[in-house]
Order: sequence, then C-alpha cells, then structure tokens
Amino acid sequence: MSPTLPDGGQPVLMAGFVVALALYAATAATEAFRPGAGRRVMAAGVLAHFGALATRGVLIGYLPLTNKFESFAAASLAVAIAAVIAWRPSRIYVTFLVLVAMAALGAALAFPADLAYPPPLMRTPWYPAHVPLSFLAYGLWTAAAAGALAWAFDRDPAWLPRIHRLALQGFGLWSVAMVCGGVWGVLAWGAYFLWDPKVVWSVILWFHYATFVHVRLAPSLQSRPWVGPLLAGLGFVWVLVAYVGTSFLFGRSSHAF
Amino acid sequence: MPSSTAATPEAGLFRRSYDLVRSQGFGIACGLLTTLLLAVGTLVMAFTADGASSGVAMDDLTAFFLPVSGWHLWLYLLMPVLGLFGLSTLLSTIESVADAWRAGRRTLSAYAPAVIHVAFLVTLCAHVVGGFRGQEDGVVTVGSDWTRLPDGRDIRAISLATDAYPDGSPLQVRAQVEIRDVGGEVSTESVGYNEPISSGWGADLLLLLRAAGEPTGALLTAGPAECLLAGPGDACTLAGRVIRLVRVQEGGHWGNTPVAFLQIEGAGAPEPFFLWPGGRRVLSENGASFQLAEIRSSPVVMLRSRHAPGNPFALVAAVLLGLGLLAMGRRWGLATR
Repeated sequence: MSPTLPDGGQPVLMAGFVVALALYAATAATEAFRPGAGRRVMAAGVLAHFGALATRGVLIGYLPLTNKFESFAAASLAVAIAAVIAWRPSRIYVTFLVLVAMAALGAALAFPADLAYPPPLMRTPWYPAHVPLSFLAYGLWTAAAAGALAWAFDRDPAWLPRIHRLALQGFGLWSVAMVCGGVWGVLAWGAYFLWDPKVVWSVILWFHYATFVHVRLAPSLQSRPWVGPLLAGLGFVWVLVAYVGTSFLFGRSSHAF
Repeated sequence: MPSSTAATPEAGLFRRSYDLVRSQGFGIACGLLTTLLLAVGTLVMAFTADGASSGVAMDDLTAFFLPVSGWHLWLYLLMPVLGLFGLSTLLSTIESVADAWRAGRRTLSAYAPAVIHVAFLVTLCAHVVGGFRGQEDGVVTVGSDWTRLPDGRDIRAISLATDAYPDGSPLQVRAQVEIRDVGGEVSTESVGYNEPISSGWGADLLLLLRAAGEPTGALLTAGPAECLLAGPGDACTLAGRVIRLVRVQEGGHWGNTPVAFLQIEGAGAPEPFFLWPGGRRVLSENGASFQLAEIRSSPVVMLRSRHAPGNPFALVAAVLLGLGLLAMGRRWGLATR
C-alpha cells in the first residue's frame, strides 16, 4: 500500500533525480576545464536532488527514507553536500566525490522508486536525527578519503589537516547519530546495541575514526604523514561495508537498509 | 639505615608498563585491534548464524559462553583488548585532565575529550552489565482480564487507539493498560510502538509487539430498541424473540470481516444463524427484523518483557557523550578551512 500519485506523476517525481545526476556529471566536466567553477554546478545538482527528495517527503508526510531507493538517494545527496561544503579545487578530489555521488544515485535509480508510507516503528523523532546525521558523516568521511586520494597523487601537505578535520567532524556527527540510534533502539527493541551486522559495523566505524582522530596525538606517528590518508582510505572501505555490505552480504539484519 | 630512592627492578617494570598502557600508541593499537576483531566477528556470526552463533541475540554476551566455542574466539580476544583499551583510556584521561588543570586551563573545551572518554568507559560498563545481566522475560498476551507479568505485577488492557494512513496501513497503535503492583496499587500506562512501558531508567521494559481488537460482543438493534450481548452466552429479547450470542469470529474463510454467530431461542430447538455488521435478520413468523449494528471488541496487546540493566548506563554514556561533543565547541573547526 502506498500514497497515490496523479497520472504521470512518477516521471515528474523522478525528473529531479535525473537532473541532479546530469549536473553531478557536468560538475566533473566543468572542473576539468575551469578548476573551481564546478562547485556551483554541484550546488545546483544538490538543490535539484534535495528538491526531488523533499517532494517525496511531502507526499508521504515524513522523512523520505523508507526504502532502498530513498536511502541511496539520500546517501548520494549527503556526499554531494559534503563536496560542496568542503570543496577543494582539485580534479582528483572533485572527481572522486562526484563519482561516489553519481554511483550512489545511480544505485538508487536501479531500485523501485515507489512511494511508501513509513511503518509505525520508523515514526519517532530519533529516526530523522539518526539517519541523516549518519549519512552526513558518510559524506564527510568520503570527502576525507577523496582528500587522501588527492594527497597520494600530489603529496601536498595541506591535505593532511583537512583530512584529519573531515574525519573528526564525521566522527562527531556519527557519535550523535549513534546516540540517537541507541535511544531509538531502546524504545523500539529494548536495547541500544544488537549483535546485528549493521549495528556492529556502526561500532566499527566509530572505533576506526576514534582511533583516527587520536593519530595526530601519537608522537611516534608524527613522522609518518601517510598514516592519516591511509586510515581515511581504509575508513571509506569500512563505510562501504557498513552501508552497502551489511545490507547485501551479511544476510539477516535489523536494518532494512 | 639510609633509605634508598633508587627504583627497584619491579618498580621499573611497573613504571614501564604504566607508561606503555597510558600511551597514545597503545590506545591506537587497541582501537585498530578492536575494529579488526569486530570485523572478524561479524563475518563469523554471519557464517555461523545457524550454528555456533544461533543463540546470539540482542546485546546478550552469555550466548558466546554457553557453550564455549572456537567460533567465538574473536569475542574472547576482544574482551581483554577492550579491557586494556578501557584501562588505557582511564589512565591517559586522568593524566591529561591533571596536566590541563596544572597548566591552568579552565575552559570547558579543554576537558571535552575527557568527558567523551568517560562516556566511552561508561559504555563499556553498559555492555558488560547488559550483556551478562540482561534477559528476555518472554511475551505476555494481555486482554481485559488481569494477567501476571514476570515480575509479579498484574496487567490488563483497557483501551486501544489506532491511527492509519489514508491507504489504511498502520500509522500508530497505542494501548492504555492498567498495572497493579504487588501492593494492589493500580496505575494507568500507555504503550505503543517506540513507546514502551519503562521503569528503572530503561532497565525494565514492556515493549509492544502487536495489538488488536479482539471481537467479543455484538450490538443488535430493532428500530429504536437495542441490546448489547457483551460476550458468548449472553442473551436478550428483541423483536419478541430471545437471541443468544454463541461466538464472534474475526477472519476465517469470510475474509477479514468479523462475524457474529447467534441463535434464536424459543420453545423448540434453537435456530442458529450468523450476521456480518450491518446484516439484517427477518423473522419469518411476524416479519419483524433486527440488525447487527456493530461487533464490539476488547483490546488485546502482546508485550515483550525485557530486563536490560545496561540501558541506564548507556543513557548516562549518551548524555556524557553529547555533553562532551558540545563542549568541543570551536575545536571542531570548519570543513572548508
């Protein structure tokens, strides 16, 4: 059962996502010819993307994160937002972020885009806090990984504090998201933690980035500038496992996506 | 005897161990090892979901020891690693707080990381307490009669309110229940999805699994006259005949529509029949009729009873973590810098 759309409504609803996808592709092309100019194109894509997702939210009367289509679309949007906020005029950095945003949005478009009302368990204030904050953390950590990739190519030391800062900010958002998810877990299941692949991988991400943000404090690691970029790259792999892998590879999970 | 200030070999070993455990490098090693062991654990649990890990549920830790299994080696290694991680965090936090205080740093943000570290330590306590002391107390089906809860209290459902989306799918379900404690005092509570009945700061919970209205009675009308048959066996006189409710049934091969099974009684054998809501029965002898105006139902809720003593610790940890993150203030910096 789902909300009904007027005839021809579904293509209109999808148009915003397609426009966003096109604008993200145009961002990489723009940046290749005019470094720094891609940010506005990316921002326009974010607006179209946000508008399309928000329209779905209005139609279902709730946060539009009720199925895999909306989840991947929101993850893509989070990466795009992180790219716009933490923009650097670097082709490698921008291209990596654009590719991740496009891949996530492309994955979303591969899933059924039917509108659905959220089940009663999703209807809690903790949900709209838990999931968007998690996705924004994913976005910032993806930007950290993009910075690590750029550093691997140009060895510009200016990347290192940026990578660290993005990892730290993602860690802060992730911590708040985990608190919100934990409170919701107690209210819904009676436990803030479950031996569930998605939940355990959330904890893994927390430990990974908690470790990451302490690296700069270890005197023995000061002379090894590659440690931060390495952990940022590894963290991105962990993000993929936590977000995609646990939904598709680990079988049963308490999380629908 | 002159006293000696020279460190003994044992004291030197202690000092070196202390310095090692409180060092950043040791904490980082514990953090990386924790991520590795947890990652291995998720793979093992997925691989042995129908075998050695089949008993693992919720936040329980006892299932990993009943029985001890080589498949759970990752957890047996994880526990001492987290123990050392906790010790390392505790020692380094005490030292950093002492250093900051001695250095005259009085801003809140100077102590924010320490608050976050304490939150982490409390979370470890939550896992130990909840993992070893928590338990599922089973499912209780609660109707309009008093039902005994695992903790000795009694409970009964008094009303049920449901909201639905325009397409009829459930939006929210909320039941009112009465709970009678062992002293006989009765209190009214509300329970719904994401709205458990909680006591002891979340240590004891009654969580809604399912709620429904169980059809129990029928309201019959004949013109302005009406009679309520509250339950099976009840009878009343309507349109000049005695009508008895045999049972009310929801579902079955009639679909989801509830049905009332009734019988007309008189001098001869009872005359059985059934009606759906809105259905009418015309009496052959006098042409009078009566109608099943509605089927009355009473609320039935299924509640899961759970003892989770780790939850209050987790709540404290969440508050501390939130405060610590807020206190970081300007240390977060701007992503665009």
